[in-house]
Amino acid sequence: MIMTKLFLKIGLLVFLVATIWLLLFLFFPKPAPAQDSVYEAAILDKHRLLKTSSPPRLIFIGGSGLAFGLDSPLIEKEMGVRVVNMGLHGGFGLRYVLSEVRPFIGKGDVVIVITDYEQFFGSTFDGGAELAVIAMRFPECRQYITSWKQYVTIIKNSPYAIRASLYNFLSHQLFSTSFAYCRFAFNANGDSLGHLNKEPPGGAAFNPLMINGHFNPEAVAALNDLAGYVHKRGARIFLIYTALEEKTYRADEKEINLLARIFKKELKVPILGGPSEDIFTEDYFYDLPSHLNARGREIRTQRVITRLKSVL
Amino acid sequence: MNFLSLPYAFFLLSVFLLFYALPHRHQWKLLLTSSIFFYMTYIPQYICIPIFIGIVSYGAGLLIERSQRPVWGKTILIMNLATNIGILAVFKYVNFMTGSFFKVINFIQIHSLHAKAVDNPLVLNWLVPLGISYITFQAIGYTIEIYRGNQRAEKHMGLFLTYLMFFPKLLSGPIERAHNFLPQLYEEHPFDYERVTNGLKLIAWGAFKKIVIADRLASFVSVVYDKPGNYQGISFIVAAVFFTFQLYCDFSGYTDIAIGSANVLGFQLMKNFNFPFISRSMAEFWRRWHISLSTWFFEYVYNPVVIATRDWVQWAVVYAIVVTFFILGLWHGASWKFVIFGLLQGMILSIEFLTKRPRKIISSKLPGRVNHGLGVVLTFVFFSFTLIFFRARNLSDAWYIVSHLFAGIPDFFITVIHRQGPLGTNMEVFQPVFLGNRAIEFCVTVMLIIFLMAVEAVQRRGDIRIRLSQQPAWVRWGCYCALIVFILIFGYFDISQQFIYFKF
Repeated sequence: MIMTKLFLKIGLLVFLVATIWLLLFLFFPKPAPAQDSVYEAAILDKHRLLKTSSPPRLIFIGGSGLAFGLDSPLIEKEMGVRVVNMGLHGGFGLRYVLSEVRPFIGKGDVVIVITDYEQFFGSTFDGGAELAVIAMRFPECRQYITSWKQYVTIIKNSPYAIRASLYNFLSHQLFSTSFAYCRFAFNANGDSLGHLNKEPPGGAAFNPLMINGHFNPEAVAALNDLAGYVHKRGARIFLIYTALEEKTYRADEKEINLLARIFKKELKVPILGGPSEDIFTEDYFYDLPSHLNARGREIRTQRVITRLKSVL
Repeated sequence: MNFLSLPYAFFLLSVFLLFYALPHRHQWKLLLTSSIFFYMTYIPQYICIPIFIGIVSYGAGLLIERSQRPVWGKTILIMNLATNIGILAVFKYVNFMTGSFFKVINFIQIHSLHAKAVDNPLVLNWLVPLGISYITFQAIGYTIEIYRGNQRAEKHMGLFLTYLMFFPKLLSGPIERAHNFLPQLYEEHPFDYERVTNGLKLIAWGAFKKIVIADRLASFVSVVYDKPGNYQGISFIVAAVFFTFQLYCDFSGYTDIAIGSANVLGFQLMKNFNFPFISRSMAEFWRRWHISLSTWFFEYVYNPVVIATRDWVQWAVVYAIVVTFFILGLWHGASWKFVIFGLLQGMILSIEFLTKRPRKIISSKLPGRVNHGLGVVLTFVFFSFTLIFFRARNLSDAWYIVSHLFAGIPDFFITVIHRQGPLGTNMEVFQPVFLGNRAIEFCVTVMLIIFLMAVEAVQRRGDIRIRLSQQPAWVRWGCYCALIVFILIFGYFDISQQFIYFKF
């Protein structure tokens, strides 16, 4: 009888904690989306870009490597079409970034996927901590969450999201900081400019990629599914391998080559170039092995233009 | 099975349900089997080591008690000590001893004989069995107490093995005394709501100290100790202070979870920490820090050495202190850095002992609060300093840190003073203090340490759980929810972060 009382009380405690948790997740004080300056808030501007521009466009999809490493105005000038750079953070997961562009693809659009290698291994495809952050802070992003696996990711990472919001709230009150990672560092096409010609404050870290787990066939299936959808809408789709720092590439060459073989066999998206073509030394990178600096960005953009010109 | 993992939660819940469902005469069987299972979740084949130690010490205890002549009892005791210390030496110290021996040989070979260095051919590539230091120390203490006539030999081997291997204390103590624990195995343990809930609260508090404070501090401390060459002065001081709190929260957090788990099953384990950071001297500090170990050393090393050398008068005490802390240092790990750590403790305790009278005269001239505060600060500073040897990867890193402890500090303050802009801007100048973390992360960490100290200050005036139980329901439940939410938000849930004392 007394033991039943104990378990009932523990049950009540769990219920109360879960309720507080949900309330914190949904209603934690945060700036209005329009005023939010966090890096992830740039997703809202990118959605607006997609909504307000009309086809034909070049729509780039990917993670932060794409946000840091593309000069969209130069591509626009060379290709003569509007460019929308949707790249922002690998932590959103490939499933999410593929899903958020779908409703906006129109006839004549060209979708170019430049995504991190990690997305094809383990559960990274379903996102990480950053997915929880955008789900918590920006209600409009929740509509692009399509799988229960993403909800599991969000629940698992909800402590991080709440902590990040709390820190953001406090640090805005206590400290004014200037980071390369800021919403207002993006240009009208969605390229991040905050890091150009700057040194990373905490130094660079060119470690091996965070490839955890085995190859995830869901990621290739999702790309193929998008390819089918894009064709139905009268648009085209291509894939370009991500640019990487040399030592990181060498450390993960085995997995990258495995992925290239799988792509060749199973991917229904045409690939422009090979995985070893855009490998640069660390002088061409900002803080991470896929974040190009101004020099690297310029060379990489020229190469992307050359590849696009060969097919468009 | 990490104490802070879901498998452990399920394990404890299963043992808890079965324990109270079983009649008293079968409860020890459950505790023993679950303890064996718990140990086997790490390296299954090593289970034979604690069982062997248990059987040998159980037999030795009976033989010592039944020995007709004191000399037989002494012989059996010595054989048992040799077995236990031998096991410990083979698994924990053999590589250290042979490695040190060959280092000396190589030094002579190269410098005197101009010959080539030779590799140590006796390197044993096995892992140290978890908890071996704690298990052997309990077994040694048990047989010594029987020899001294303070303890009856346990007749029931199952109960004795349960005492030795009781899972909450199996891996990192407390080093429980047989006279405290064995009688509890004979007592009935009906379900006691108060005791169980108190145990759960202690587990939650231990988890808070470990996941929220210790693991957070680890993220600051590791960056410095992993690459000391990249840092100097102020960073070393911050890392040293943070490591002191990290170690305390890590180990006392573990102890709280161990004691809490035992409480849930109706058992009481001995206290391991008693507010060590209010100590006014190192002697007091060691009466408050890792109590089960320090009292063990006091009873079984320090006292016998003092008695054996009592003719040396005050030097007997100094000698006993140095010997005790030399062994205590070595107990922490087979490395010279731990030996230095122990010797530094021994040195300061000896100085404290030898300067007792002049210090008393000086302190009598100081106002009470100043005297008290000065003692607390100096004790903390000294302990933090010695922990540099404890935490550094090796002796050369430790020496590098010690020799650069004040390097660049004037430059740092000049930069801070000349910083432009209002408070909150140009935070980059504080990077040597933040140790590569964000300013907000650093501030939260400092706030958490202050919070911990405040809670301990309240705790000193009476058990906080009793005080809390006297509050209205909404206050109690509010505190429980806040603690859990706080752990979830600020916790570092990296299961690879083991407890520091698991290594010992």
